[in-house]
Amino acid sequence: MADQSGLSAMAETLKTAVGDLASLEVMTYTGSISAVVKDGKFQWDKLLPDGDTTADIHLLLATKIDIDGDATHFVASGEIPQFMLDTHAEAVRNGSEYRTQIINFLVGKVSGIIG
Amino acid sequence: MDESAIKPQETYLDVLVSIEKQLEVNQKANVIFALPETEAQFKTLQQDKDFKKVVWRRLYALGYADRAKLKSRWQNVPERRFISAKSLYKKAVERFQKDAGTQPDGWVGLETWESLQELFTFEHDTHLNKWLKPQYQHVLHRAIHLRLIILGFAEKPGGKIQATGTSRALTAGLARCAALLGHLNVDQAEAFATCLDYIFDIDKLTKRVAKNFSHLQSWSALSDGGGAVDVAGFLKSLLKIELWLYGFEGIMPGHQGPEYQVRYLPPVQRHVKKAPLATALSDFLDEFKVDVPKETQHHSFRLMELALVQLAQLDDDTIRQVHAAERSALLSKSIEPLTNKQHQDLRKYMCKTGFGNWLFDGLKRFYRWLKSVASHVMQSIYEFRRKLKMLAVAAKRIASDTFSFVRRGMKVLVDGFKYLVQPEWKMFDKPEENAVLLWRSADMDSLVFVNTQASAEQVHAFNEQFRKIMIRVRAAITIANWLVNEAINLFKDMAISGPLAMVTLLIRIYKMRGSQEFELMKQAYITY
Repeated sequence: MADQSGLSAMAETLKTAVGDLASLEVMTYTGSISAVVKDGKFQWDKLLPDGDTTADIHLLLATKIDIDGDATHFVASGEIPQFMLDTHAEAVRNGSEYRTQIINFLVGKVSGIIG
Repeated sequence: MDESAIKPQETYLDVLVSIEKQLEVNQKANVIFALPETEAQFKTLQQDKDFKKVVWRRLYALGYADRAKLKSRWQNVPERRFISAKSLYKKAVERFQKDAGTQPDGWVGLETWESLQELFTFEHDTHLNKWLKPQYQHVLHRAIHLRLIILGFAEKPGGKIQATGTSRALTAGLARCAALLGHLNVDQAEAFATCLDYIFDIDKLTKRVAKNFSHLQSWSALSDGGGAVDVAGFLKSLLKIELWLYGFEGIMPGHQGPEYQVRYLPPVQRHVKKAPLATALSDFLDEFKVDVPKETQHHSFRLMELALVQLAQLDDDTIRQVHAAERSALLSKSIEPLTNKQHQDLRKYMCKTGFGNWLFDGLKRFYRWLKSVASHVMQSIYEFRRKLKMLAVAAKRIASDTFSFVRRGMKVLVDGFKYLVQPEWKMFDKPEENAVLLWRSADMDSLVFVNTQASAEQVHAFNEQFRKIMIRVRAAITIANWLVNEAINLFKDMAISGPLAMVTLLIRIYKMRGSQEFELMKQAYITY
């Protein structure tokens, strides 16, 4: 049936999207905020690897967690304040937990309904 | 009863027959009380406080109890021992049961009661084919003897109406019975079976007497066979039996009142030699007044009047005047017009003790039953209202809690999903005012920017805010998950129980209180 095919396609899309959830990357930058704010908006693209590197922005901490639990960490040289570490750790923890719940919800329930 | 239909009859036995017809009419209208024959009716009778007395009287008459009244007593031999009334009663019942072929357990159940009915009373059919078997010989002889006594064919042993069932007593009584039946033109009157057939079937005997009444008009004692038959005594017994059968309380067939006294005859009549009829009639009337309670005498004399009027016509001319005088004197005293109060008293008494009592009693019982049912219904309605009120309170509470739950849940859900789809998280709208900013892509990858000029407190404040938001998001996902499950269940329930599924859903939501989901939602809600 057409509807059934549509639903199956949606399920495939969801599964593909979930595929992106297979890894989690959290990067914590520091720098002068005025360097990344333009026209009252935060320029997030300047933080990306292919962003404008001229800005006074430094990558302080980076974490990549694969779905199998393997984790890769980057820690910049020099002394890193504790609150920086806490913020990064909080972001990693919430992102990880968030991702798990989303995977369970989308893949488990929605796929189950579609059958 | 319509007495006008009875008056024109010729003989007083015709009167009885016409009474019978009238009573049959009433019987069809269920006016006359039917004696208990079913188990249910018998159980009702068993509960009567006088039941034991009735049984004891019957057992005494049949010779199974040694004294007329049931009382505890001291036994003289072999040693003095106190025997309770209960024990005496039980032993008498056991003796009867043993002879009647029922289980001798001393307990009067339906089987024992029916045996008593058959052997003692006149209103119950006696299955002679059963009782003529050898094993029942003893009890049958007692029953025959009792009937012969009642009908005036046998002497009362020691002046008591108590059967012994001895061969001598039976032989003499049956001979007199056969003699009377012979005068009534009964075929094979001398046969044992014929006598039994008539003395155990009063209707048959009455009809035979009514039909051959002219043969008994001599009104003298018959001297045939085994001895003299007191025809007048037999007829008055028969009349009393019939009246008793038709529900006149207080009449005890065979019962003899105190010694005859001519209370109703004027003194001037004493020199007149009374004919047997006059003696028997006066005796009967006197007994009648003794037997029948005063309260019902007036009613009973109404019937007696009818009989007397007819009897006088049958007498010869010699004694007619005497009878007329007797009747006149008797009736003038007995059939006085009732005052209103007397009428009311009689009515009350008849309602209390007559067969009309059964009707009124039935109505009273019905009224009580109706009242009981109504009370029960009202109680049920009250209970139902109370339960309904409780149910309404419970429903209101459930609904209130449920809607509160849903309202909170929806807020958490909406806010949670708002944060879920919101890529940039910050505490203040203007980016430069924030110490920390967080950006999250669809696949949960995050970029965190911390201003170098931010203090530790500002960063902690962000972290705290971020944690709260994450709780809401997590709660939203949990609620969404639960909603999906409930939606599936709701569809399933609606397919089975229709709109009732909504109630089930509300109850399930209510029951969610205390669950992990609820706790998480509560935790998320208090973050606001």
